[in-house]
Amino acid sequence: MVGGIITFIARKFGVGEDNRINPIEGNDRLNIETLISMNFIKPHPPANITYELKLNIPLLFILPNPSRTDTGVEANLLYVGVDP
Amino acid sequence: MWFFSPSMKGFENFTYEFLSSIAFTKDRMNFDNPDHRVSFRLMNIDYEMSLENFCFEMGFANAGFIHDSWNHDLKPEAYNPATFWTRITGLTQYNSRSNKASNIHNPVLRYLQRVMSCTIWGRKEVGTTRTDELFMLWAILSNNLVNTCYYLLDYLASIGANLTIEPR
Repeated sequence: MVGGIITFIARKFGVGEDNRINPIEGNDRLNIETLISMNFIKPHPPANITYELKLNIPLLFILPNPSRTDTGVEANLLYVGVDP
Repeated sequence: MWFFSPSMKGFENFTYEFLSSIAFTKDRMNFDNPDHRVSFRLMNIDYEMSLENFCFEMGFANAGFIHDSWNHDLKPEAYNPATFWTRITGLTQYNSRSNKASNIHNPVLRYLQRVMSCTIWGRKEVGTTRTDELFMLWAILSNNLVNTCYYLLDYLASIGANLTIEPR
């Protein structure tokens, strides 16, 4: 849905919202639940209060883990082995 | 970022009017100082302006790389999509139409790709990585500026060109 961006553009040109027409809203927020449903992450047992990053390779590490996810570190762009 | 704001809802009247009228014309003749033009209609008012003016109105700089530009000054020589794809996925096969986002290793980059596909590009199908998204990931990682308005207009114009409105 690109409507939000077009609303932004319209406002920049001084065009206000037309409240007679219902806004279009997205169905999902890109939150933890959505990321789980996207197979992006999964809860890590037993407590399920941390999350595992899902890739097509075995478990790498438990999230959150800033030292392994920092994109400023080249080694974090490509995980080549299982984290101890 | 502004597009995450809950107040930026979409409205059918703006959306359909804008998408059905937008035209983004790229100047392929003047390499040094191209005059890209955009036109669109909002609430029965026609707008026509240069990319530079549009950027000014949006509050963005008319600057930064355009990866498919014909102007070599705007085309980043260091960027190679296949090489970058290998760098973040480990995969040597690159297909711009079917690169699966789930192959991106780093969760920050994967999340950024999802955010871009769900917000800026407004895509329904987010399983694959668009070439524009890949380029922006590269630009973010390498701390390079991207001409945001150029990409925004290019994408919205392509959406508009393929827009079909289902009868109610």
